[in-house]
Amino acid sequence: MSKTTRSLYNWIYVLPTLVLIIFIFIIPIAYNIWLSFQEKTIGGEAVFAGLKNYQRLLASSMFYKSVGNSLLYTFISVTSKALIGLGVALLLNKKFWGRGFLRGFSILPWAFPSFVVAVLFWFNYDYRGTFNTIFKMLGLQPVHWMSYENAMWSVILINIWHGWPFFFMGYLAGLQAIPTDLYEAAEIDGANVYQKFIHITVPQLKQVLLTVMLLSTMWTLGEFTQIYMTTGGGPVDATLTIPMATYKIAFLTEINFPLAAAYTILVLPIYLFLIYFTLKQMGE
Amino acid sequence: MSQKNNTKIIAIAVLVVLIIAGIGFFLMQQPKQPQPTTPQQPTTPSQQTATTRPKLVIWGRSTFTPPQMYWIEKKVREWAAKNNVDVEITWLSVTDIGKKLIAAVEAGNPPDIVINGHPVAIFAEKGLLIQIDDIIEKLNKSDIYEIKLKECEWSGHYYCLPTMFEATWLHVRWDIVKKANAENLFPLKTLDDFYTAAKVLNQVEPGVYGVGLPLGLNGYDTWWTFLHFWGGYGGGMLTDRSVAGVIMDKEPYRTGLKKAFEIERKIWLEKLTPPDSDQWVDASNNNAYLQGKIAMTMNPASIWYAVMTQNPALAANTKLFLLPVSVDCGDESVFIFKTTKYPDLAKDLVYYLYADKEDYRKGFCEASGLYALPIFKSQMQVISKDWKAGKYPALGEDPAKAVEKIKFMETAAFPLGERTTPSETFREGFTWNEMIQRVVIKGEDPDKVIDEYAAKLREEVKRVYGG
Repeated sequence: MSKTTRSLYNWIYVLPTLVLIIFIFIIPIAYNIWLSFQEKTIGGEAVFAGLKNYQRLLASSMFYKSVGNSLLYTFISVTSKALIGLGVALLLNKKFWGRGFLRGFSILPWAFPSFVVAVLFWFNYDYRGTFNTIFKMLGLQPVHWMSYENAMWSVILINIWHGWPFFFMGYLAGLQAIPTDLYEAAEIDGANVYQKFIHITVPQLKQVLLTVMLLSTMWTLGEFTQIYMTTGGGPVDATLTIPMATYKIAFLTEINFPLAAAYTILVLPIYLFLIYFTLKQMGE
Repeated sequence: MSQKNNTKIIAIAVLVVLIIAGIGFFLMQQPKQPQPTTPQQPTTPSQQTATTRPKLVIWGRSTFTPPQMYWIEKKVREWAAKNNVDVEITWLSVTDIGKKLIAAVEAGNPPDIVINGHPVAIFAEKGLLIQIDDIIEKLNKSDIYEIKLKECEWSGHYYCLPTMFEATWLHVRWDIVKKANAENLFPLKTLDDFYTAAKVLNQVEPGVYGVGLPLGLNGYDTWWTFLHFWGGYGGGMLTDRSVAGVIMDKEPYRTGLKKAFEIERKIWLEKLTPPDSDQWVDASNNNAYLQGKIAMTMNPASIWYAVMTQNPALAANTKLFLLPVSVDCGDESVFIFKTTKYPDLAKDLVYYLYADKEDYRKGFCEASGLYALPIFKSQMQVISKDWKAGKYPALGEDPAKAVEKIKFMETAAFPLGERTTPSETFREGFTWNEMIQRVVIKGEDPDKVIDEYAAKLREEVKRVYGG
């Protein structure tokens, strides 16, 4: 078979995937870009509006607030999940009785779908809910978990509770892959626990650490269900994140699809940067 | 297989795939707006055969009083059986139906008929609905309340038929009122009395707040509760369908709006309403009243229905009063999209729902504990007669008198008094809720917030009506 024929054959094999990508990825993105330059009422025809949608978004405080909220939500959530996950992974990497049960039990929060977690915490956060009942029993004042001041921290807590086992599983798998003789050699050289962690565990886990963190960052940035079902982006704009803002522009406060399309284009660089960083990391 | 043949087959395959992709891309570029369809041949039951059995897709807004849905289902299925038509009914929640309808219209695939649904102006003003003047005439136009007709009229024609009056009642725990010696406060004389009553009734029983004031971001109750104050204190939104018609930031309307903010802000700051009111959705004040957390709340009689059916002890201690300013929340209507393949059948079904007015009164209105009041004057008179005969002791006022007092409709731009796309968009999108929360919960400067939302409303008016 000639080189040309082989090359053509290869193209034939990837063609179905290519067509799928064109239909479910390229065309919708192209349509989204086209739509972002239009102005349109419900049931009306689209009219070219130039950069009007972009100007409107860049002039609105909602845009900056939602991006800021998203970054805060993602940074605090991911950092906390990473630290908790790493701590628990280090603990459960040790041999002790009941370790298997605890490992299984630790994965439980991650096994729940997002909407179940949201409903669960809805009951916990209610003014007369689980948390405040416990507070009352301890003689503490009840907390208004979903108030303007506390709502963001409350949704962050939900995300941490739901997401840390993912880090734990990734880190535990990474820890188990580190050869024990590295630690034995370090002990012979007189390294303490801290030195072993910094000079052996962290470098050996680096790849897993980064991959898990990047994946979680992308998922957390895109988290919609938990916020939608607990605060709906409120009170006011306290928990208005990028996915919530997109939904609100398209279906709520604006009912304006072109504006929502423009919004997604404006926030796209954040996601593209993450994707690039992830691919680069995986390539290395 | 020779190399030449291989190359040919591959080239053809690539070409076919590219052509398919090209056609797909071209089709996706086409605007998918619902276009009025030319009706097929008029279909009558006698013409239909098993192979051409027509099908109507119906969306309904589920209500807080199940008997209403049972009645609609019964009527629709009855009609379908008589006319040899297939029907598919989907019930959507109050918060979902508007968004789903908008999405369906944008996708070019709306249902044939909407029963007890909203919004309407958004579609009617775009010419997407079928005119139903003939149905209104057949039902005896003069028997339908004018305010209800106005709700469905655009450019001199009717495009929907409201399913009910949904008067707002102040549900009051009379045992707490007695404990506070506040009987003389009711019925409230002015809107300011609302705050006074909330203060007097607050914590009379430990843990029971004076009022349940919905302030959540994602519920319609927040908006229409506020509408009593906004409209009642002389505020306004729109005087006509033009940018110049936006008057919410002009005097005296601005002062009216600020007074509305002020009363709700005082209630919130003085903790006269439960601390979680800022997250309430439409069912929350219902539940708070049922659970005994609040001494009073504004709501259509769906709370009364729930109290009657779930908590007889509480029902015995509940009284219902009209507010000094009355708002009709019954914007739910029946309407038909032009995209339907069977306009004649759809219209016939709409007529069938209302044709037997007595059945409508009994099955849809009375069965809901008068959560729904009839849109027909003749049927309202029957209810009024029953009220006078003592059939509804909890109602502090004759329902027939109550509907005549109604000043505002939930989705109508006031003082214009008509449903408009911007007023519906702002209601459906909870835009007003956002404005309310910014002042009442967050404590932002009302003047600054009013300026911002007036600018938003002007932008929306310009987008919809031009100019």
